[in-house]
Amino acid sequence: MVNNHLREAGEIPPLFFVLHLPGLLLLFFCLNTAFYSAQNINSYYVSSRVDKGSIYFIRAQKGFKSKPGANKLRYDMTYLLGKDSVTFNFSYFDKKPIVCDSLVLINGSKRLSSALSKIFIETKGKKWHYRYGAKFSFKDTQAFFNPEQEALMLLICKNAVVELHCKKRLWKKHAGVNTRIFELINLNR
Amino acid sequence: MKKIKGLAAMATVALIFSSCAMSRNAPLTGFLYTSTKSPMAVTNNAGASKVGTSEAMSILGWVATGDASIDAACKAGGVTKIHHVDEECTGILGIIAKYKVYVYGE
Repeated sequence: MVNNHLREAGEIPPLFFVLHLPGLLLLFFCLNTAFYSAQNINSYYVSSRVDKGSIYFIRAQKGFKSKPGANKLRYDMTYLLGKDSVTFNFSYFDKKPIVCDSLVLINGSKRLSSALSKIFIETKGKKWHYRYGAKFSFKDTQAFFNPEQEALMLLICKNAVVELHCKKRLWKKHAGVNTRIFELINLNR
Repeated sequence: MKKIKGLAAMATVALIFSSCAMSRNAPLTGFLYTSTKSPMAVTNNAGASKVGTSEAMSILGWVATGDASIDAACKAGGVTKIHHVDEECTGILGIIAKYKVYVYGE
């Protein structure tokens, strides 16, 4: 009887593994992604061979929020090998109806500015979904993604300027990944 | 007691995975992890300088939301002439599945 109790006390019930296996594996995947995200850039971009050369698409990245209101902005970038400019498309969500003219990217002393071309304006829940596109030179875009300095985006609208900030840690991660992707593009040029 | 525990474990597994979040479009599916890219469509149009994406997501196969249409992807990228379309499926343990469409064109 005593032996049976000791044996049972030392055993881990099979149900424990069954119930916790999905959670443990999920945790493993999350930790794996978090630790190796700086090195592994494969999940952040896609490339495809087209007539004029290769086209690189840097997937949508989130993190920039307006200081009052916490309105979110997410952006993606497209670069066609051999061209000088990077297409910088973004979605901005705001409760107010606004008309945007230009986008300014600031990183340290570096300041880039581009006029915006409207792609569409729709509604998403209670907010407006603004989709705009901007063009920046490849070299300037590469310089903007400097992980050592904080970045700021200014959305210049009629009668208003929306200031968008990104958390330091997240910016470091995104800027590091994008720098690596630009390095890869440079090697393929 | 052990038999009951074993049966309970089997029943739990069956219950959990009876409606997994998986994409029916994935050419290959992994029980633990799926990340595949595959072709969807090709046209005769020449050149591509724009890319647009759209996506839909499923959680546990119970809730599925999103607009992963070609139209939504064209809109997002400002694409009016399609060169080709690719799709991407990702899934983890049947808990979360994502289906993404990439449209390349002018």
